[in-house]
Amino acid sequence: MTISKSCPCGFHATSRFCPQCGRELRVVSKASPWPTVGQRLDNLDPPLTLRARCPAPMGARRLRADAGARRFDVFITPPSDPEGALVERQRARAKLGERLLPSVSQDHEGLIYEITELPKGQSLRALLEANVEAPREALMGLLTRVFRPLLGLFAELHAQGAFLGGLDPDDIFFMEGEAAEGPLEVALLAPPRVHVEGAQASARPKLRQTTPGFSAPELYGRCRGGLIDARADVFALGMVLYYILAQRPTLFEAGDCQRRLPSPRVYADAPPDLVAVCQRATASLPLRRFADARALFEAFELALTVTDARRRGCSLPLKLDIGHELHIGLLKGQFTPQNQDDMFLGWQEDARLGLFLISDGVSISDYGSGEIASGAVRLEASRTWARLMGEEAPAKPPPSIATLEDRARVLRRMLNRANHRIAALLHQEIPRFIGPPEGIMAATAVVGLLKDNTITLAALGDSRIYLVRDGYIVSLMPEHNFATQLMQMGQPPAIARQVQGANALVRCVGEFEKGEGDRLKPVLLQPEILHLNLLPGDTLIFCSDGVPDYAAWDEEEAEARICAEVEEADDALTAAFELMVLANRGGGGDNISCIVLRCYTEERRA
Amino acid sequence: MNALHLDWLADPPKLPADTPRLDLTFKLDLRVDGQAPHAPLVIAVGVVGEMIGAPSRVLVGLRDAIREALDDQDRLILLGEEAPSPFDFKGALSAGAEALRRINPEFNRRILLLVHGQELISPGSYEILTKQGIGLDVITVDPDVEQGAFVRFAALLGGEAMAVNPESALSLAEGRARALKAARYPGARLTLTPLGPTTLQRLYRLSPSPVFLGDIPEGPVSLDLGPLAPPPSWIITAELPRLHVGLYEALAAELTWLEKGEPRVERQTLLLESTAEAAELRAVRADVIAARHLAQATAWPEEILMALRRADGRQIIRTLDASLQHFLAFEAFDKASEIEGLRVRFLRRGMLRFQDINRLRRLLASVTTPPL
Repeated sequence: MTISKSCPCGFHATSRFCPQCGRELRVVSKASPWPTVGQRLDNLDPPLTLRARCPAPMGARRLRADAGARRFDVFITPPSDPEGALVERQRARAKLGERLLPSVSQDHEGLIYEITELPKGQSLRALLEANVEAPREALMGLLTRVFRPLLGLFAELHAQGAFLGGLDPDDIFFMEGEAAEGPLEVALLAPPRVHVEGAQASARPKLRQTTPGFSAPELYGRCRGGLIDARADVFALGMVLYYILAQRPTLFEAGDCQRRLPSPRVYADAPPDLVAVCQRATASLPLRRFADARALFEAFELALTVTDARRRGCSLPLKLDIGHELHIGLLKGQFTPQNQDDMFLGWQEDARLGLFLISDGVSISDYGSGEIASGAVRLEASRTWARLMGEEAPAKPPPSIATLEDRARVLRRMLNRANHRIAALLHQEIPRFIGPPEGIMAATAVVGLLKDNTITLAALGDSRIYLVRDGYIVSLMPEHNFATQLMQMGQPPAIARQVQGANALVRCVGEFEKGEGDRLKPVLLQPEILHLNLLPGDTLIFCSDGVPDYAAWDEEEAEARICAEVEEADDALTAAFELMVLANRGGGGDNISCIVLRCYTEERRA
Repeated sequence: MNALHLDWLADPPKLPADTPRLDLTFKLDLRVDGQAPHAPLVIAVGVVGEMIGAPSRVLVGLRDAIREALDDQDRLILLGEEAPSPFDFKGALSAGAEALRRINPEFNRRILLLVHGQELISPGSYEILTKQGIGLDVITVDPDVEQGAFVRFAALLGGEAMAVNPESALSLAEGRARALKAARYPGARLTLTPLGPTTLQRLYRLSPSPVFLGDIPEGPVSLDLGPLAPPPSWIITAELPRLHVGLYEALAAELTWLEKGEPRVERQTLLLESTAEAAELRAVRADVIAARHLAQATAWPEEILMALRRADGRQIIRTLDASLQHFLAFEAFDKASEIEGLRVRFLRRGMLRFQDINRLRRLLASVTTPPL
């Protein structure tokens, strides 16, 4: 034992603990029974060099080791196994059997070494890290070759009434299978424990080894008093799907924050049907998730089928059932008589051409007001529709909408003309604009141009476009607020959502800069564009934020209720009415507007 | 005349021949982020030991101001000649403490006070009882008055505060007094002193019922253990700066009580070891975090009250939403739907009544987790 009289904090004392920083001043040199990183164990077969320590249960150590080019996982316990770590691991081995990598047990210096040789394939973490930089075309391959077999493994386990309580991507390995392009073979290291559904032992919250970025909120004690079931595995699998779809490095806060994760579509152009499945799997409350991996497997397979069908497009001509509602909002109406939401709806069944718009005026503006801004967007939509119909005076040939890019161009032009219209309105009143351009009236816009079975969507601001299908709902466009922008720049969601002005719009119709002579110069708007092949059974909802913000107390629940209302309604008109009622029942604190489009074919409707 | 009345209940049980010791348990959750300058530390402190101690004497006090509301006055006797003002809570406590001064300190002494609820409460007035080791329980007979201060006061003195209608006040008081009569260690107190790098932040009682006890000022914290069934426990949130590798003193805990008239002390020091092993930082104490969530939620009624005073509707909605999420997370669906109703009512009317806040407080205190 050595005695140090000076503490690193600079304080000098003779007591055991530093009175200033509380640190122990006596350094006790005790021989640790555990081997350390860097140590070479020549008596083992093969002789191993310990390289890095891994998370392990209480009363055990786990290290990664190597012997030349071969890599090993080493699990070490004393023979007395004081915390039962070895017993739990043996139980897990008995339950998972062939799925586990084989291991050998050796005694060395009074400890039991369970040595597992790691396969040549890649670990799940390595695959997910490589996916961040991979081209988007690799997505389907990763889903079918990696995610599907992993999901199958957990579905088998859950079918036996057992679950792991999460996964560690460093402990799961994928090897090439028999078929060159077929699914990869999956094998895993023995998990610390296999829980049995309903068993008292698995229901008691204990000290947990969590894997940041993959562990469910209940593993952090956030739900149900820390109790876990198969839904903890569903969350972990959902996170794997999330990283595949979002092409994003691990979000360490996943599971350790109360709000749900941002949609994978915030980070990458992911198939909406798969995003909907992913969001349900990673719901923050266990009861909102799939009951087990089997249910997730079924939903995943269905979403893959729909994604494939959507890519190919529907060969039959789709028909539309359209409903819409515009309401001031029960509470909002008590404070302001103006409804700042506006909408436009144009549908030509013979030409199978439609234009749908929801615009929500920004309530706080120093120059002009929200309803004038949203009105300007509506007028431009009306004008665009007239041009598309060839009804514009003086007569001009209608703009081409033959290709997807043509349609996107029409929508971009429409929104930019609305921007110019707002500037023109202001110039009439204020020829020389002195104040900051941020104070000028503005509006959000979500707009869809439907031609045949394909809809081109454009969005600016935080109004929403939802796709509802088969009991799932997904928001198609990211919200253009400060928080989303920060997330896209790489900030963790928890930090991005807490910054001042997180909900402030960063993109909208009504963006200007100052030109010569203090004249306002409209900024060229670049709305978010998405082309979507519609299928029979799809429902699209265009709505202002007054619907989801007041439909329930949180986003997840609001979307679940919107989905339920729309799916239960007999027709689109009733669905739109029910959405308006839903938002008003929740308080009606904002203007409410929505357009509901239901797609069907004659056979399907019959 | 306004006065404090009392009723001595039946004879307390005899002192056991050999009273066992009390002890403390600690559970920690400490999450270290390599980048953050401070690490959040959650300490769960529990008391263990045989829950049989000294016999109890319970003083049931009644304010004159509410006498007319109650139907049974015969069993209540006048406490003191000097009557405190009808709104003077401290005066009522002083009168109760004076009445109990002559009781042998070997006996456990508690006051069960019935008040109408509109008394003025000044911070620190409970210290009159703390000094004498007297516990406090409060029953307010008007459910429409804001109850938060009574809840905190009673919790600091190891007791509970309940709001009832005047009709059921006496029967509740009698039942509660009988329960309190169950023996416990007299003068049992826990004193927590932060050491070295630890900065204590907030204090919550977890059991017998979760209560937010407030922000922790600098220096030691002293807590009355109250009746020991169920065993009391507390949650303390704290933070640690980034630490060099080594062993640190984090917290000193001192448990004091009287055993056969003799003072007994149990001291423990909480030590933390800071290591360089990243693997050590991933151990999450899920049960401690769940308990922290339960305890933290009890601060929300106070936050709503403050937001009501500021007319900050957005904050009120955020807090109600958090409460709703909380009940859903603990799968208390009936309570969640009650909060949803409250939320819509607030959105429509723009206000909440004290009764609503009291209801929220009771709902939040009623969710429990498996014992720590």
